[in-house]
Amino acid sequence: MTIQEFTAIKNRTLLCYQCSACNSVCPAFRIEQFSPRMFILRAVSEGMDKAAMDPTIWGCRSCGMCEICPMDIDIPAMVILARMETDKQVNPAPKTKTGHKKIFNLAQKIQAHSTNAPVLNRWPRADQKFTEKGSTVLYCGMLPIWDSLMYTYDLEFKIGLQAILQALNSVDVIPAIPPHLKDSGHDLFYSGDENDFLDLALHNMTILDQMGARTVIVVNPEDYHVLKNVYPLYLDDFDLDIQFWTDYILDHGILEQLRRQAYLETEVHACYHDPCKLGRINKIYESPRILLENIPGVRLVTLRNEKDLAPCCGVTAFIGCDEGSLYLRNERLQEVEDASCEVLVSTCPSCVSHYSCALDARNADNPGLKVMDLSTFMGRKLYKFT
Amino acid sequence: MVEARSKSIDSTKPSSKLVGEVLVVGVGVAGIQASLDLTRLGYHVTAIDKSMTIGGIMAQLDKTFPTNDCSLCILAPKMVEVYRDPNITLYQNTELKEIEFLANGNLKVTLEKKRLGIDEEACKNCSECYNACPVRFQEDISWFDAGLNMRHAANIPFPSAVPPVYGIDPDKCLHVNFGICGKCQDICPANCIDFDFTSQIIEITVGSILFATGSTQMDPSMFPTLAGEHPDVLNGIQFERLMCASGPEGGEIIKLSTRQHAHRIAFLQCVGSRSKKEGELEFCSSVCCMYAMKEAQITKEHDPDVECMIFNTENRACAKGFHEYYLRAKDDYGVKFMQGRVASVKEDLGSQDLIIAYEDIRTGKVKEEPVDLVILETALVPNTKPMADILGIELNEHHYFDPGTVDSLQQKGIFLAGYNIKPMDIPLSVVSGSAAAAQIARRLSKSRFDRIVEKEFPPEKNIRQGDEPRIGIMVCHCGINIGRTVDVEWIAEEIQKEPNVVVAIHNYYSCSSDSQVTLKEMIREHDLNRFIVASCTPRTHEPLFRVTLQEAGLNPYLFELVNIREHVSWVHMQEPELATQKALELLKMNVAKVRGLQPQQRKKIDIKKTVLIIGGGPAGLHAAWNLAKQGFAVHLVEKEGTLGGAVNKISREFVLPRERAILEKLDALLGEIRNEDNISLHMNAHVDEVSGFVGNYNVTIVESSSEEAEVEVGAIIVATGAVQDPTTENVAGGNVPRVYTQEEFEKLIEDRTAGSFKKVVFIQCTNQRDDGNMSSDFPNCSGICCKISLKQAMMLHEADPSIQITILHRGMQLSGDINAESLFDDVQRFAAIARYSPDNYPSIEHDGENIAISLDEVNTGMALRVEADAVVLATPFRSISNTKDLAMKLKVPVTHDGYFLEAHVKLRPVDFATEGIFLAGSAQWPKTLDDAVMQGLAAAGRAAGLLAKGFVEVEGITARVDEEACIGCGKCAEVCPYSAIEMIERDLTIDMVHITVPKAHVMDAMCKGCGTCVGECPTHAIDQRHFKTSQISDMIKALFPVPGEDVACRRLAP
Repeated sequence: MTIQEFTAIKNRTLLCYQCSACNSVCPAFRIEQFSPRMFILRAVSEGMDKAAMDPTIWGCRSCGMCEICPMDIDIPAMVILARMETDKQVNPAPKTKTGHKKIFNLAQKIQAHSTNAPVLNRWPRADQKFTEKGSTVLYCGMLPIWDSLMYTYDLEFKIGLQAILQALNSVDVIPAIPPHLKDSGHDLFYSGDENDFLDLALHNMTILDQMGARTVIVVNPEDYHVLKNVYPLYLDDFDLDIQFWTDYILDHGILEQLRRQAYLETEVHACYHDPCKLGRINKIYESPRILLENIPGVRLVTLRNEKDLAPCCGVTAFIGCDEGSLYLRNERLQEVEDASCEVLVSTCPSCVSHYSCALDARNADNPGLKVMDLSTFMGRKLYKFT
Repeated sequence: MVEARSKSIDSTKPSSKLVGEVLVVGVGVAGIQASLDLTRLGYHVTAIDKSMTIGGIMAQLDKTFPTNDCSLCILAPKMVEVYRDPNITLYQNTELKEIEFLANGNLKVTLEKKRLGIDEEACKNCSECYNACPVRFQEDISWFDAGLNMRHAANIPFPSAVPPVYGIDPDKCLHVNFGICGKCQDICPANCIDFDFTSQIIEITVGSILFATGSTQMDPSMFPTLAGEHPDVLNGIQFERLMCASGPEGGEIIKLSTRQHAHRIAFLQCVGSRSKKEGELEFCSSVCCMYAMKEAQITKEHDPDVECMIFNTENRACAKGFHEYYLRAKDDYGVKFMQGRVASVKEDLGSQDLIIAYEDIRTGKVKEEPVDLVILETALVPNTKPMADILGIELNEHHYFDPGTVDSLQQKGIFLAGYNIKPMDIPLSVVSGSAAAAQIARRLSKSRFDRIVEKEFPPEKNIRQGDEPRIGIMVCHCGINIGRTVDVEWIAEEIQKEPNVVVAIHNYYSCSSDSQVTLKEMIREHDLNRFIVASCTPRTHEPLFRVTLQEAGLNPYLFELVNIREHVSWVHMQEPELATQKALELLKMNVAKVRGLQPQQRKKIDIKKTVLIIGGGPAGLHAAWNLAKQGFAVHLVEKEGTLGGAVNKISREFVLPRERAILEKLDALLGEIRNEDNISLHMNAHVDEVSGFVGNYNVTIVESSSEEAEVEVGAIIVATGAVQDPTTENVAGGNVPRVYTQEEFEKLIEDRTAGSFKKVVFIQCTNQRDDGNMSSDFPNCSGICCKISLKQAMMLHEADPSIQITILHRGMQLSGDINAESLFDDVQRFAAIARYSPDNYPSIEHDGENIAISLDEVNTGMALRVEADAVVLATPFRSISNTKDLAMKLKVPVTHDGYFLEAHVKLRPVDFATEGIFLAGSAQWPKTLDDAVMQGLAAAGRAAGLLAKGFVEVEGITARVDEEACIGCGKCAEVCPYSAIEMIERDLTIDMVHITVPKAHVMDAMCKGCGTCVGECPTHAIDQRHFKTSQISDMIKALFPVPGEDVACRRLAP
């Protein structure tokens, strides 16, 4: 990040007049883990290094709810700056809120430091078409290994990936799936590990450059956000067309394909949960909904809080996966149950994983409800993959 | 009247002279004030409004703060006055299309007037078309009921709209769109519906244009995170309509979704304002805090059990009496005030309640509250875009013109008023209207009276002695103000049974323009010679009805107003039956009185075209300059040896750019004023004695403690200013070094001593804004100290960035200034800002050398300790020390804060109740420079309007002495508060003996008809016209009838 951008974000915080609008919407404030108003006040009055010493900065979910700030202060960016500050400190505040024994952070760190990237393109079905190099790239991030990391839940992200590739093939797109792309570094960036994040970003950019990539179709909203908005901040030459997969296949006429395949189906009541990084932060609300609605048999149910108002699942970068955020997830699940839904569909693996986890504890009440990624749902319902 | 209005004047001969004609664009309260002032100043006005009625936002309001007066009740008479003024041509549904700047300085304007399918001159406002129209649709938010009501295609914004003309919505009308229906055309008794929707192009040449196009409140649906689309989420104006007795729900405050009574209401402040977001406004809209408090109070009056919660960052109540109004809302009405912005409103699908979430600052936890209604006090956006487009000038980022542009527009004859200048409330809008009128009068001073036509009344019907009194009566519902307590219909029936009462009717708003037509019809149809209206206070409405009588050919004094609102329905709200009884008795008494009414004549007296201005500060100087340039002689009295007043205390070197521009203008003015022939300066002087009356005041001015000057003036402007209270001992201790008031600190900045401090702490609200727990006698907010501290902090920082600056405040009061928020932003970049609680003023400790200040910070809940080299205290600004003395001399009132009290806080902000005396600048309340200048100009305009004609009409109700009965004791002269009675010598011959005897004599021009002398006279020799002793006893007899005596057959007394 350039010093100008850094200064701009920091100077903006000086405009805060303590109206506490942020606190009135912040999910982390509701579960008493973080007070954006106090954080900004401290950052302004005591300086960033002091503010970074406060362990509550790890309570922020970077969900972007605080975008209602009348002074347009970018509070999540300030939090990341604070976290980066701790990374430089000798005795940093403990990152107490990182869940799953930091396995995801570790995996990314290992990726960043290893010279050998794992091969991540062995998941397509035999009849599916892809290349190893090309101008249109399908970027899957860590999703191919996600099923194995989250083995306790039956998440079937592999089916999801296959469904996306199937959809692409069906509209005559044969994407490149390079074997050695690494993780986008989203989690590292959001936990303030700027150096390791940069290593990953540089690696990915080099590979994409080498193969002459022009368009990158991204599967994970978190990766999408980082590739689209954060890479350009750090990498001057990063100038690729980053597209979310739902947008991309809609643009390429998937709806006609779906209509051609239309057949009788039992009706499923599904609702769509907007992931923060896709919805509130990048304002992609419609394409996942259109896609979901057009899958035969689906009836799309509207939830009380949608789009800008959709709540955060409570976990970003595997930070904050705890009892407090479980409360938030249960609230959302209650909302879904109130709307008599059978499937909660989302596009973010993180949302899907964490809602699945919360649902396991609840399933005694409502065994019918399922949580699924949109891609997996497509694979199951449309392409009948197993 | 219609004939007089119908001709537009366009007969300008090509000449180099500016035309005495002014175009007023936008006829809200500012436009109304400017139009009325301009005609008094001698100019013809063409007033246009793009909507179907004039009145603007003020007509939509239910009540107005701080008096909680009914808004339309005080505005409607002014609207009707505009409509009746023969020198105002009014075009509704009209927009300005083009301005051509002519070489001789005049402006040729092209107006487009839309026809709404109705012949406006023929329309009788009978509402038959409305009742017949089968189309019903939800109105738009820009309509009168702000989208809460259903409308017909044939409609009028509200029953007492001005002009009282219906119109047809061409988009909704079945006849227009499908060629069917036409019911309205069939039924219209006046045959005025012609379905002609063509536009009419009107071209006129004017000498000046005034833009007063006001503001538009943001639509709540712009705020999805605050559930803006939900039917129970309204903006401020929508809630005003909901509360209003004549509104869509008859004043019942209900949830529109379920139509059930609302029990919990949340008011969310600063929605869309004080924001840097795209499409929102950066500055404070300046009126929302006050009107939210008003809305909460009125809601509580409707039902004390309704819970009202106001959410804001800080409460901005910084004008005259406003903080006390806040205390009343908080303590007397129990309105809850919460610090903190609400950023989320959601609907609970189960209970259908709206849920608001906010941070409780005290506990630092989020709270969720279910509420029935959410009122978003959204930003008011200035309607400046169309104006900028026509002029081809860019607006700045705040949607306003830059000050430089405003100046150059004024050179070309284009002026601004109201919200087009900056965010302002009603009183300031009125001031700006008067100020613009004064500036226009100065520009067009050579064309005064060129275009003026006098209003002509039909010849007065001769009321002869012995004529039978024929009384007509109109009983008013006043919306539901009277009607919900008093059985108005029954009263109208009962009073008709009284002898001499020929006809009695009841109606919803007797003051509306359609009712005036009815009244005149009644007089004509029943050959009436007396009239009674039973409604509200004569203070506001009597003049209106008197003119109506004159229009019907009756002497205006054959009228009586019976107050059954303030005296009956408002005070006996809980006892409707007794109230009805009382109203009837009052009416019967007045019928008895009215039988004895006689025609009275108002005298014209010549006046001096000279103005005395007391105080040579920014307000006084601008007033003097404007009056002199309008051609009036001015005596300017300044108590100091130099002109400038408070301006002399402002540092000229360390000053903000926009302040500098005003100061430079003032400095230039100072040079010119000294050489202006029309202005006589009296330096080191004070006003010693004042006698006389409007138009003819005799004033003794004492100069340099020895020389005396006697001047005769027609009007007086009081512009004595305010000074900062030097008291700091009670908060800082007696001998603490380096504790200053802002005024003292300004001097230190100027002479650069302040630069030697390294740590400066400003403490706001010292000894003022009392919440009931400070020992201050100044409960209100001075209104300017926060802006002063910000300026001083900025100047200090610019002089030496290493100085540590801390500002301790209780909620910054930054309303009424477009740039104040960004100045605050700039100061925040280098200064530490902390907030203390109203009930815990920071304690200032010192050991003789070092000063330390400790406070409980509200936003963090932490105890803070700040070290200081110097402490600057924002102590209250008080009116000058001899205010009371001067007030006594001028016979004008003073508030308990010690400030001069204007005639009406809302609509007469620069007038005193005493005619011919005006108020300007900080003598009314502490003011920023631009506001003081504006008020100075406004006072000049009001004074010039009074003097322009060269005569005034005096009161017709005066005392009369029966010299035969007078024994010359002189008691009446002693008690007369206006010195209107003199003792004269009369020659008397008794049995061939000639003697001279003293007799009392009333000088009509000075008599105010107060009646004090009547009560004092031992021989009943003095009687008062219009309130004769015999009439009073008739009234008493009507209340307690003497059996056998028949009052009805009594004829007119001689």
